[in-house]
Amino acid sequence: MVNEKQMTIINLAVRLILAAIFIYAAIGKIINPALFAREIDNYRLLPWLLVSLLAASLPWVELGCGLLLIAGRWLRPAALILIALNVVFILAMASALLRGLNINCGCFSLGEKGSQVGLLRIVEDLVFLGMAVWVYWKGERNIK
Amino acid sequence: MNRRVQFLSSKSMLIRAVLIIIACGIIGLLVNAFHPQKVRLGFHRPDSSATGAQEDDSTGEQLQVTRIDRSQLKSLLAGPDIVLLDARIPEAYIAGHIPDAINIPWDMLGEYYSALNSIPREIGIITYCDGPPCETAEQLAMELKKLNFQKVLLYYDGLDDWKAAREEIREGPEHGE
Repeated sequence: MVNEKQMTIINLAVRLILAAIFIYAAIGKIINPALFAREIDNYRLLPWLLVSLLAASLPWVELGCGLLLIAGRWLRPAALILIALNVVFILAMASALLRGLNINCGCFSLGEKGSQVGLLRIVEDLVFLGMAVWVYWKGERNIK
Repeated sequence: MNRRVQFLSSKSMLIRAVLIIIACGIIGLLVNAFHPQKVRLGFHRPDSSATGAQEDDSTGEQLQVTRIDRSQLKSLLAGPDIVLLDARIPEAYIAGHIPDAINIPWDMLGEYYSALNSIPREIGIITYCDGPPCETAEQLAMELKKLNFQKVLLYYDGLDDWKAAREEIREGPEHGE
């Protein structure tokens, strides 16, 4: 059985890894919002107005949540946002796969260095979703 | 009492989540306004993205490649004096391409200049690749413009769109080589 100390270490590790993943993902998109907009647009799901607003703001939401997870503040709200984002990412990629779109996922690296939408990317996001749910569940005691 | 505390806690959490989204969203929009690679906000896609505009390095002239959709491609292919170029790597071309397309891989363009130069400049040329973002086909189209081909078109939706419409796909190398 895992004792309380080990559980604290696991919680901290999950939180920090999740934070690092989302901060890393955000930085690539913040560097080139125009390219990120193109990658969102390639999913052919949203009108340009929403695409452009998302491209400008979404990476900062990811960054903000990542920083809050590192700071250990507002853990459940930040985790809740990450849960919602991961669900949206998974649905968008599944829809692209079902429509046979051969596009970049827009997950981490963009453009030529970006990885293609595929089952592996969906599994990856399911893992991130699980981690966010874990932080949400374990983060309850941090609500003051 | 316990339920009331739980409800208030959930409400406070949702409010905080909304605050995070609003605060980060505003920061993102402000940074974007001054960003050198900023995304243009608005209802319509930027022109450069819609037409694939690029500046000719040698003349400074703005090059534009017109994008066509599948129905336009089919009607053009049914007519005379049109050459369809597949800009993908040979392995991808062999795995499946649009019938009658000629493979001119953008990544190996240097090896294909003599083939390109054998095409009369007044012949219409359509380029394609897998599909959006379709950068290789767009780059090939720009290069053809620079080589003074007069009518260069881009099938931007590419092979993904062609396959999605269950149009005929041909496998193997050109002319059974």
